[in-house]
This record gives sequence, C-alpha cells and structure tokens, in this order.
Amino acid sequence: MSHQPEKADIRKHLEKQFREYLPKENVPESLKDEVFQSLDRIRFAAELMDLFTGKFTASELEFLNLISEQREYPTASDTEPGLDPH
Amino acid sequence: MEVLYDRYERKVFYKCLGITRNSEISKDYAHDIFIKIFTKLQQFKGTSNFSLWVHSITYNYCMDQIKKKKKLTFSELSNSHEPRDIGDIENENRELMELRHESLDACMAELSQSERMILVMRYQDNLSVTQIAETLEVGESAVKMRLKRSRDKLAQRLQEITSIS
Repeated sequence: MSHQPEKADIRKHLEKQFREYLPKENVPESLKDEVFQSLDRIRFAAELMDLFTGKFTASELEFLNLISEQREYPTASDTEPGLDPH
Repeated sequence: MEVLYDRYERKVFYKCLGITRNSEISKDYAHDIFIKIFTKLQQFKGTSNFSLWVHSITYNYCMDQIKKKKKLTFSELSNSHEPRDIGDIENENRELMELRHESLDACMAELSQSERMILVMRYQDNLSVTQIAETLEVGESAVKMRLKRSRDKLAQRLQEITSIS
C-alpha cells in the first residue's frame, strides 16, 4: 500500500527544503560601508536643510525680535541728544 | 544602528538574492532596504515583531522593483477565480515530496522573481497566506493563486530535472 502524503507532510517537507536552501554567495564586504556612507550623506543633507529652513528662520525671528525690543525700549545710546534726528 | 545592521545583513541580502538570483542587484536592493529601515526606524510602533517589519520592508521593496521592471501587479490576479483551500492546493503537487534542497536552486532558476518571492515567503519564512497578503497589501485570493502557479511551475521543473537525470 503506497503512502499518500498529507497536506501537512508536503508543507513541512517544503519548509525543510527551503530552510536548508542557502545561497552560495557571501554578503559583499563593501555593502556595510556603502549603507553607512549613504546614511551619513542623508544626515548631512537633512542638517543642511534644517540650517537653511528651521535654524535660519529661527535666527531671523530672533533678530527681528531684538530689533522690535530695541524700538520699544530704546537704550541710552539710542536717545543721545546729538544723535537725535529731530 | 550597527548592531541592527549586523543582525539583519545576511537575512536581507539572502532574501534579495533568493528573489533576484543576482549578487550585484541584491547588493543594490539590500543597500536601499537598509536605508529605508534606518530612516523609517522611528515609525516602527513596537507592537509587531521587528523581524516581520524588516521582512515586510524587504518584500515590499522587492515587489516594487519587480513591478517596475515587468509591470506585473498582483491586483491583476485578484480578478481570477477564488482558489480552493490552500491546503488542498498544496496537496495537488505531491511530486514536490521528491524535492531536495540540492535541486531547489535549479528549480527556482526557472521561476520569475515574484514566483520565487512568494515561495520564499511561504516556505522559508513560514508566513501564512494572510500574513503574505498583509505584507504585499493584496487580497488573500491573489496570494493563493500566485502560490498555486508558483508551486505548479516548481513541480513541473522538478519533473523535468528528474527525467533528465
């Protein structure tokens, strides 16, 4: 009497064969360096963008605040009689 | 990051190699996949298995590349008729009991990238039909149909190899 494989038998057999099936090639040694070099470039680009968008805007705002504060509360040098245009 | 890379380097690269069967292409794929993993790391919610998340990014990337190259979409398959229970389908290819891992390489060579990918997902990573469908964002019936076709082709190739030898 021939043994008929059951559903689970075939699946288990295939799972076993696929687990043991490993490619012959090794992972290229340069892959790791290339990945981390690319990540460094991405980080650098992101920092550069942040510098021109986030940080630049922040410094502009800070500068404008400083000017408006000076207008509201003028210092002694701003109100010197000789320098008064009026 | 380096620890993560070292842990998944072989898994990602060999997964790509199993699908593409080309070392250079696999290297390029693995490079892009790791960049995706590291840039999306903050999006990992921690609710699911990290390994599964890495596999999901790997398979989705490979799938996108296959689609780009062959303009093949799994959605085309969803219009096909609903296959029967996956267990019945698996039982159809009894000749696959003769398959040995030594001959698997030759058999897989004749399959397309998407066929190799779905077999690797099912039998190497032991993903269920539902998990494959979720990973590839397609319907379960499409996965079943593709699995059936891939298995049929694998069995056919195995018979050819056996008859030659």
